[in-house]
Amino acid sequence: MSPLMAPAAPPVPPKPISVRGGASGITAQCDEIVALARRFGGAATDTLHAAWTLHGYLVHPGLAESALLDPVGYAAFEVDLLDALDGLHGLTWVAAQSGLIDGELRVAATGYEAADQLYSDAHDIVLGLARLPAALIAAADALVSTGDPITAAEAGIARDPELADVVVDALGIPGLLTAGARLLPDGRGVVHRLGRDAGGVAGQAPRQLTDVLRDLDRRNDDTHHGAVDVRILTLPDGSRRAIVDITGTKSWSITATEDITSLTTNGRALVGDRTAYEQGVLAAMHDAGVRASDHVMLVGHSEGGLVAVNTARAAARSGAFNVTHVVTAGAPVGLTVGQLPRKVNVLALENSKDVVPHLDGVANPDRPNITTASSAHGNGRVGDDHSLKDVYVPLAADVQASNNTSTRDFLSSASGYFEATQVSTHTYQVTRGY
Amino acid sequence: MSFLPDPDEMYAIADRIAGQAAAARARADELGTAIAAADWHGLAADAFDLMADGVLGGLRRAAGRLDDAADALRRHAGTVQRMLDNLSLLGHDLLGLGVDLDVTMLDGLLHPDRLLGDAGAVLGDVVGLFGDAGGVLGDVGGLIGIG
Repeated sequence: MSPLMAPAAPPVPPKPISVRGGASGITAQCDEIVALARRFGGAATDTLHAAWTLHGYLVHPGLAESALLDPVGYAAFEVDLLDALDGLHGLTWVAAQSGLIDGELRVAATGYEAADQLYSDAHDIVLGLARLPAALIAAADALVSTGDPITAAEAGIARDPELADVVVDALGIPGLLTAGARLLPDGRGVVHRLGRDAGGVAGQAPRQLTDVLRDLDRRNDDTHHGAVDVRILTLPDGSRRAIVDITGTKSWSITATEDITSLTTNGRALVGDRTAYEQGVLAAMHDAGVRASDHVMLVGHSEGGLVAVNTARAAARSGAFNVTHVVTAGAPVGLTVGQLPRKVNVLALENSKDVVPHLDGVANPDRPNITTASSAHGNGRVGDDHSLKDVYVPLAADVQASNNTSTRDFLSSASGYFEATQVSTHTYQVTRGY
Repeated sequence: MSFLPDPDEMYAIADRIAGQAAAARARADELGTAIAAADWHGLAADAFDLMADGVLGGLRRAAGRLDDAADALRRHAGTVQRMLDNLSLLGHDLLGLGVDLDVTMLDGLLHPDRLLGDAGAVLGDVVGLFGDAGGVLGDVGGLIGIG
């Protein structure tokens, strides 16, 4: 090793994650419980029908006549059949018990769902209020030490991001944002080719989730606003996958602008309105040669995550593309992600200190196909806590290291995207045309 | 229309009972597989497991007892079949005896010198008849535990 080379930084140990939804979420469990209930209900019906039919043989005239010739043999048969049907734990009891289990399982599933709904509704309020004193102290401390009210507000929010959900919801911010955005014409998405990118991670087939996030970060570093890429992956068996990277907000303009990442897109995408950005992404996928049979993963940061969800929904409706997976990082998708069909698996990464995922004012729904994974990264500044490079790539590493059933299940279902031997990365810029 | 029991029908019913036993066993296996695949934990899940175990055990026990009932019916059908066979043989013997008696009497009237020999043949038929009747009685005696 050259004495001039700096020693490699020690690997950062993964942080524990908290997970909502997915394969081990409440809804998945309730679905499983209801499916079990149906099986027991079916068993009850079948068994009752069998018992009814078999009871008929106890009084069958042909068999009763045979008792004249062999009364002892007939009696032995009757005793055995009666015992099988109406004895202790006989078929009649089994039918009744199966019906009881069916009913009890359905009651249990309903109870779980109601409890989860209650938890979801109360979660932000309870946690938000519980952390409020610490948030106020942190904000006051920052105000005293810096004299900057914005820094103080950032410090407070970083300590209590759940409060943002409550405040955002109470102020009706999603509705206001959307109403404002709808006043502005969204135009149409125009896609511009920027050529192929074979450098860095863009030239390497992804092997794990962090590679996917790193390539999104590479696109995010592009100076073009509205930069997207379409990566065509070829697997050893010749089959193909495509990963589409969608970058987030670069313009805070609230006026009509060609910059597709402006607040118009944010306001519309937040509530699931169609946007010119998703139109441009779909055009880029067509241009890159993505086929209807290719499995597609859409990946987006912040506004890019909102657009990824909208694009997946549009693709599912039109049938033009087969979107199987969506990965969002720091995106407030709570109002829209539940509209995706069950065949689309979503992994929503949310830094617990990041306020942006709370701009929807609601928690992401708990569904078998929607997994929300959180851990705590960042330094307490709003911008830094939302960083793709410094927060969401490490959070992806946390997810990879976790043994959580839901995240394991998501990564397992996405394994095909990590087995390619060839990759071709086509880059584009999406702008707004009027 | 016959008022006699039909052993073939009895065997068919035994097969249907055995079929229901197999169906109950298959139902238990299917439920067992579904329960094993369920990833549900907690107190409620434990309570469910206990109830489900009872149902699965009940289904399997009931299947075993249905098999016992089917076997008992098959044994009963076999006995009934044997008795019907013996009764049929007895009826056939009685009919034969009647015919022989008529022929012997006619022959005795026409040929008195052969009467002794014909009477001996009839006596032989009677002895055979008692033998078959003894078979039937033996079956009945066996059924009610005599001998």
